[in-house]
Amino acid sequence: MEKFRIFTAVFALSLTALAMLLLTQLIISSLPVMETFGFRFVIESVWDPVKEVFGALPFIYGTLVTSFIALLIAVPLSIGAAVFLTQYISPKLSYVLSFLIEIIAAIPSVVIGLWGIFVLIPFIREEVGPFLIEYLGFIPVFQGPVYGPSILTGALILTIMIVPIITSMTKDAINTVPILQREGMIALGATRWEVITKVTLPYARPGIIGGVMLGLGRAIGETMAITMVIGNAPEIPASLLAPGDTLASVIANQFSEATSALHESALIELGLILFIITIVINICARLILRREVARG
Amino acid sequence: MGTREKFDKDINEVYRMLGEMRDLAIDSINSSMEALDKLDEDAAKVALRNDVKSYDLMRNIENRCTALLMLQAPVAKDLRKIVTAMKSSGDLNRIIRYAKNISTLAIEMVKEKDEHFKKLIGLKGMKDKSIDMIEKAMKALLEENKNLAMEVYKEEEDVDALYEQIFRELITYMVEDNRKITRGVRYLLAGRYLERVADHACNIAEGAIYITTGERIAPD
Amino acid sequence: MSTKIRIKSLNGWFGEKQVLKDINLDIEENSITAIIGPSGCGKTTLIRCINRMHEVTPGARVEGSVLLDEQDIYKEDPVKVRERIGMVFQRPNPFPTMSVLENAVAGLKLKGIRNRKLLAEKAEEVIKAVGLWDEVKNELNKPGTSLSGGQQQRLCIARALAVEPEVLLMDEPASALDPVSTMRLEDLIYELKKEYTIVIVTHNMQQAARVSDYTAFLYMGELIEYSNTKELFERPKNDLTERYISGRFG
Ligand SMILES: Nc1ncnc2c1ncn2[C@@H]1O[C@H](COP(=O)(O)OP(=O)(O)O)[C@@H](O)[C@H]1O
Ligand SMILES: [Mg+2]
Repeated sequence: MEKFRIFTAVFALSLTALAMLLLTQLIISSLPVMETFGFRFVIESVWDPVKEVFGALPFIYGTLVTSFIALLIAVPLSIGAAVFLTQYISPKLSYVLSFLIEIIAAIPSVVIGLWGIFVLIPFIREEVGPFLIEYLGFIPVFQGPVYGPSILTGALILTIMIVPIITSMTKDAINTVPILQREGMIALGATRWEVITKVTLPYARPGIIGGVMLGLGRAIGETMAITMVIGNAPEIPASLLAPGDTLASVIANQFSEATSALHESALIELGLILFIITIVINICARLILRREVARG
Repeated sequence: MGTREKFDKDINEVYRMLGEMRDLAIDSINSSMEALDKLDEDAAKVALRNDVKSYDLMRNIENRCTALLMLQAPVAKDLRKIVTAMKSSGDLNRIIRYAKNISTLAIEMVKEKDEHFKKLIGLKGMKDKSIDMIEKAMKALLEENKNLAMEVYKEEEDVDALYEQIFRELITYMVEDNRKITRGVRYLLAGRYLERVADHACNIAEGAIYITTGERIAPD
Repeated sequence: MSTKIRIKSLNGWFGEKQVLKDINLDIEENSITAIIGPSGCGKTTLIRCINRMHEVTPGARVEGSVLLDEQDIYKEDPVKVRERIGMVFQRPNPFPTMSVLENAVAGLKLKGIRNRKLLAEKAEEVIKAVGLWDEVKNELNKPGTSLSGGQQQRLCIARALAVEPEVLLMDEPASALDPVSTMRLEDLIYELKKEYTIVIVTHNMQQAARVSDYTAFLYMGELIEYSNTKELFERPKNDLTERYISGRFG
């Protein structure tokens, strides 16, 4: 017994140590850039490896904006899908459709990236972009020329990748709502829709938020697929239809060909920032969930 | 033992005690009437002793039934049996009390050195009938036999008729000869007590019908 | 006295399994009717047929008719039927995401009433009606689930009353409560019959005997005996009934 405890403790501690080691390593490797640019690193928007000027803002912006848009589209879509799958169709059909949705999550992201290049990019360039400019052009983010690869394209790719996660988590959360809760509302004379909005979704809220957070984490860290469609331009474009870049994709793109030690260090600091953003999101998720659980 | 079997065991015990009270009642009536007939003080004392025993039995039955009502909340036949047991123990106790009253009459006559001025044929008839009624009513109760209980109702009419007959006869004696009034009143009281005994036997029969059918059929 | 609910040739199924067999039962207005019977005999299913909750269960099916004031509820909109026939469940089920006050008027909000003052007044009225006001008047904004079991169940009754139903169905409403809460609940049910027609399922015979005016004994999906409660408990006509109520089986 005692032996077993020590055994497991060693594992647990070594995992924690690994995380700490990673963080320290990132910080140490970022030190050259930190010393050179200090805080300016995160607020400057020029990234020029040739001139050795490094500002991370375009990537932070790209990461946050693509993820945010992805959530904006994916959350209602996923909740709608989950409600449909659990409340409106037979369990058998639901099983089949859920399986198909979950398969999307299993597709390697490079494959999704390829699909993005060959299907999504032309579609944005020829259909979506012109449409948005024509009808929503009065909004600044939909102005200027249409490129295929863009912030919006990246966001859509992310959406596709996180919808299965959020849908499946939401489905699970909905399935944990006790029948007694739903019947309580039905017995008061509620329609099916009222039961969903007044009981099922509120009761499932903590689970849904968990799913959204998981999706957000995935979106922020996603590298391959978004790298292939976002255009890889180290800028903060005024339009969502223009190319941009994210923290993860710039690291992936430039690391193998980093021109100098400082460049390499700058890329590592981008990694550090990504790491910190992920941690912050995780902490936020936990805080929200704790509040939700306390409420419920 | 499950609560169910415990209940059955308790209720059987209650009915066994009722049987004991029936034996006491019959014994009391027999000996008190013997005491009156033979003016025998020793025989009279039997009914006095039985009265004490009967009271204890009745209280015991009551306590057990109260506990059963409280703990088991019986329904249907169980409920009817308990309610009837309580009432019947009261009836039997009253019967034994009347026998004791007859014994008291006998003792008074012994004390006053009275002699009978007539044979107590009518009273003996009433005694036999009422004992028969008690036996039948109790048998009906223990065996849940409605028909037997209905017979008890019929016999009560006979007892009433006998009492009326004795009543007229004694009035005639007393009007004829005023020295016979004290003894006449005692015979009359004995008759009255036996008539009450028969009445209580009827109550027991009514309980037997209630247990069996759930209905209350009053004797007419 | 008149008949409020008339159940005619009612049959109920779960999938292939028939759990209610040709039930015919007339329920008196402003009275308490108890449904008793051993576990699994179909008590819950029967009352769930009275407000069309049975069909909410996937695979469940009903045949026959249930007349409310001589109108077949199976020919009407189930949502409307449930507004007229309220239900209280076996386990208290207040909504955890709503406060005590919101719970009490959840049904009214469904009817589109938004006026906060009106809602607060109605909440107070029904919470008082179930004798809960003094206990919770300082906790109206806490979640409904923060109350004790007995309080939660009374809140659920208040919630049902707020919709102003004519009939109240209760499925073993005291089975999850302690004896004191049970007694208070029974008193409340007795009070409520002045204004509502009440059908209560219970497996507690003493409870049925204490609170109800009429009792129906159900066995394996069939209505074995139905009569005046005193009559049924004092002299049941059917031998099965007798054996069941005197605890000799089930
Ligand atoms: N959701 C369900 N699916 C299938 N069978 C069920 C379901 N609910 C109840 N049953 C069956 O229907 C019968 C009646 O159940 P129910 O009405 O709940 O009985 P009671 O309330 O008297 O205990 C039981 O045999 C039970 O097994
Ligand atoms: Mg049930």
